[in-house]
Amino acid sequence: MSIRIQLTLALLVAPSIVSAAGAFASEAILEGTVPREACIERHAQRRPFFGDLHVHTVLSLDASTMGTRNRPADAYRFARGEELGIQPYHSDGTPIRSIRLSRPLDFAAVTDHAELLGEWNTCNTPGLPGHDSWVCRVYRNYPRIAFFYMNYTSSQARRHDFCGEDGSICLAASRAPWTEIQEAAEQAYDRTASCSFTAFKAYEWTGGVGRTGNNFHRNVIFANDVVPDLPISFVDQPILTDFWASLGRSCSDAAHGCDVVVIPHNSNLSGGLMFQTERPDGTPIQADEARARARYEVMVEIMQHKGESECMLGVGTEDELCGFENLAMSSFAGRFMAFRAEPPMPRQFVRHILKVGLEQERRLGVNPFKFGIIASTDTHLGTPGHVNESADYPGHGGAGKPAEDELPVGFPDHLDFNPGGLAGLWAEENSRTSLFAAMKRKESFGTSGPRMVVRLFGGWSYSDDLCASPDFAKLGYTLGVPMGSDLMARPTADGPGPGPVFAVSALADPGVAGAPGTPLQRIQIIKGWLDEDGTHEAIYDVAGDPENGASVSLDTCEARGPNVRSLCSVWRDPDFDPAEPAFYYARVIENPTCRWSQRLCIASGAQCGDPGTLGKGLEPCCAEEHQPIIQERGWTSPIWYRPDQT
Amino acid sequence: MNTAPDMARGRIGRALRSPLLHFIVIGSALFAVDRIGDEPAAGPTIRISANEVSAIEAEWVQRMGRPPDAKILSALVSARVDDELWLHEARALGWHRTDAIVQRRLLRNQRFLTPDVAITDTVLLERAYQQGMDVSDVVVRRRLLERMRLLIASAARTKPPTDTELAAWLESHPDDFVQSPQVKLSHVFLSRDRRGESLARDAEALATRLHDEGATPEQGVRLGDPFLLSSHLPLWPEETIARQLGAEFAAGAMRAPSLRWSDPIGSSYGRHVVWIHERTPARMPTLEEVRRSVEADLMRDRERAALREHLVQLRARARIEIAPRNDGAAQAR
Repeated sequence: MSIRIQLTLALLVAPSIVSAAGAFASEAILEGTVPREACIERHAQRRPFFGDLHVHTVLSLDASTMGTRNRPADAYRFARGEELGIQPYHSDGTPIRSIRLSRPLDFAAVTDHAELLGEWNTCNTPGLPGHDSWVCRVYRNYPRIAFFYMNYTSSQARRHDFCGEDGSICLAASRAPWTEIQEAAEQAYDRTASCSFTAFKAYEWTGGVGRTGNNFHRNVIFANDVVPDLPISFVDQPILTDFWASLGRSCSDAAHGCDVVVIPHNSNLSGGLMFQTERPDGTPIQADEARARARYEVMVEIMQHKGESECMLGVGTEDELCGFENLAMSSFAGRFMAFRAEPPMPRQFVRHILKVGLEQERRLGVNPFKFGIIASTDTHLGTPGHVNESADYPGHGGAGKPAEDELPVGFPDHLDFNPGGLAGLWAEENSRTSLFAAMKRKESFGTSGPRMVVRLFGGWSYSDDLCASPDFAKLGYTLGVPMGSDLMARPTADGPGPGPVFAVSALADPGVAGAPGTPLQRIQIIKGWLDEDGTHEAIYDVAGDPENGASVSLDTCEARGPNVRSLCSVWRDPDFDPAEPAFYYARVIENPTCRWSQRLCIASGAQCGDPGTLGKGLEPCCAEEHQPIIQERGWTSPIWYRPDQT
Repeated sequence: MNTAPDMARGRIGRALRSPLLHFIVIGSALFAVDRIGDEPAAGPTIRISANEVSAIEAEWVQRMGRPPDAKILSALVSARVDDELWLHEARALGWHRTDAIVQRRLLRNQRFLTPDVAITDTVLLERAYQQGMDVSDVVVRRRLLERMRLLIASAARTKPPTDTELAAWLESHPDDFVQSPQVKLSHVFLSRDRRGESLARDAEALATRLHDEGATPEQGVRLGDPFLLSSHLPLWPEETIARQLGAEFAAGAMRAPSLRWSDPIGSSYGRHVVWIHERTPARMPTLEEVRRSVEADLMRDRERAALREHLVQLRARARIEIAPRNDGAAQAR
């Protein structure tokens, strides 16, 4: 929450930033310890902002070993619309390729892996030289003392043995990257009244199981400039519950202005480990663990380069639109070692986990899996928001094909990787305070790349003609709740009564000059609920037309069909049972378009009927698993119905 | 509000930002760089063998589909020399033995080669060094190069730029900082989805009505079709307007007259009649407005210069031997 204060108070609280505050008018807004100007632009009914909350740069070892040279500051410059070179590089250091966003982002967070940042690593990795040094032992047990001691030692020009003879390891290897990440975010954040761009301090907690490659990675996004001295990594806190506790001690409970959200990603590669309801010893989790998870993990990343995690056709669902950008494996190991590939399981997917959340809430009284929805890229090129579904998709740059020394021939990346998605946040203004509050509130949506806009409200008394009202949002808030919330209490406490009403409205991507965005095909409401028999799901088409005749040419990618630019609907759940907990989220579907891979195949002249046209590296064009046509989409955060609220 | 623990934490936060800490960090970086400079004139000998030159050439052929000319090959070899010079410096600082990431990588390699868990890390590490893995491993090389770059770059950041330097940078890079023209507008929207064939006709009628009735912007926006986004936009440049309403609308809005209703302007969503409240022309910002960006650009430039300068110094001390190519043509240094 922002605290509006008089300048004089700002000066008292934070004497070190006098010069920065001096430039401001008589009133400034304090975020963390740094004041900023009030935004000129502020929308009481909120507006959508687009960003990318999953970005790696050269500071992530996997990115640097793939040839990435872009640094955090470069990533933010790219997000703001500047041109950026990407690997491979000519030997004189100039990049062979450079790219630029056709539309800058509103916000971004560089989330480099915390696990390889220097002495942090040494002190926390059993077996490394220096790990058992007394300094490391102090550090592990009394981090605050160690912080002062380490700095004191430095000021005495003495060094710890494990820092190497010249001490440069500890000073440069560890603090430097974390400092650089923070400085880049501070530098890129627009604190002027224009409020044109927000950068969050962030990192990735890269949890995984080495043997299987099952991942339970999480991005950690901070509210403001106040962050822990060093990022808490998987090496430091490999147990999730310890990790949350550690975040509490060093941030959220420390009452010095620090706040944080944790965003799990790639549950599709987790082998089911991402969202566990049992402890390692097989006993079920208890309410306090569920509460801790619900407190920190308020959002989930539903889509990125390495696939979509909403749902998968045939894996606990018969939803025919669940065949979108799925990876055909359940963990990284499945990519590299086919014999380790296990069949995908429902627990890897967000929709299923939302249902499990209902079960857990019935058992524990608290829902541990209550996620807002976003998407992002996971770029390892330092290029946030580069989501174009185009023939020159440069690849993921991380666990994909390396472009280290040369451009891969044919496909720049694995066939089943994709350019990634975007995070949408409904907020009053483009500031850390406002966007972070939107994350906590879960008033968010994710898209598979397009800048479509979607808004979902839920209540009991919306009128059927709400879509015709100029006050859609105002009435949406007044008579109900926005996406990410629990429905207000049911007005009729007893008996069946009518079901909840949902108002959903979407705009097609406006596109860029010469390339208007793809029209919308339909909006769906996806309902999940719990009854005596367990959990269920139902998918309702509530706006648009699934049989609208839209099509796309496989030879030219030219699209045909009705050019619907907006859809809106007021929908009442016809099968509502007040005794059954439920969630509802909206999915907006575009008309069909060519996937990046099909555009590449066309540009390369590949024709599957004519093997002579299939140049080296173009074999995937005609592979059985190639899906040349996709329907891009957006997902809103759910709205939950809880029987005990009535 | 401030309890004692809060105050303590505040002090820690301030300590992190304190000039003293910065001084120490920067000083240490300077010290390390300085040390490099103070080494005796007898620098390292960097040898690029004939086979390596051939390999570099082959890489280029594979990448570009044609052999490099003499000039390009010379640049390629020179870049390899740069890497070797920095790697030599990194090793002179002992990083190949002390860097935690390097050690972790070497251990991982060894554990992969030697699954025997009884062997201690220390033994395995020594084995890696004996095998020259710290020289050959691509991750180790990249890590050491990255640390060198970081060290030199951070040393270049020690001296904050003066106002005069910042002003000069701003003046010499106007294109990077010029502020685009901006408009603040309200728009009345008519939906193509809703009106179909009659859209153009309805929009003309609406524009005429708004004009004839002298409707205020507030009154006007109630006469349109509902639109999911706000009808009132703040002072924005064309590019930002385009992000929300498309390029066609943004271009039209920039051309619309001030303080009266425009003719209908098209967008992918339909047509809009626009009221421009305010507009600002393109202008150069003052240094105060863009100080942080100017400083960032200038510092980035200094970092690059420092990296170049450091290499020049290393080369001056080093003995560089480049084997003649197999065809016998001599290589210039």
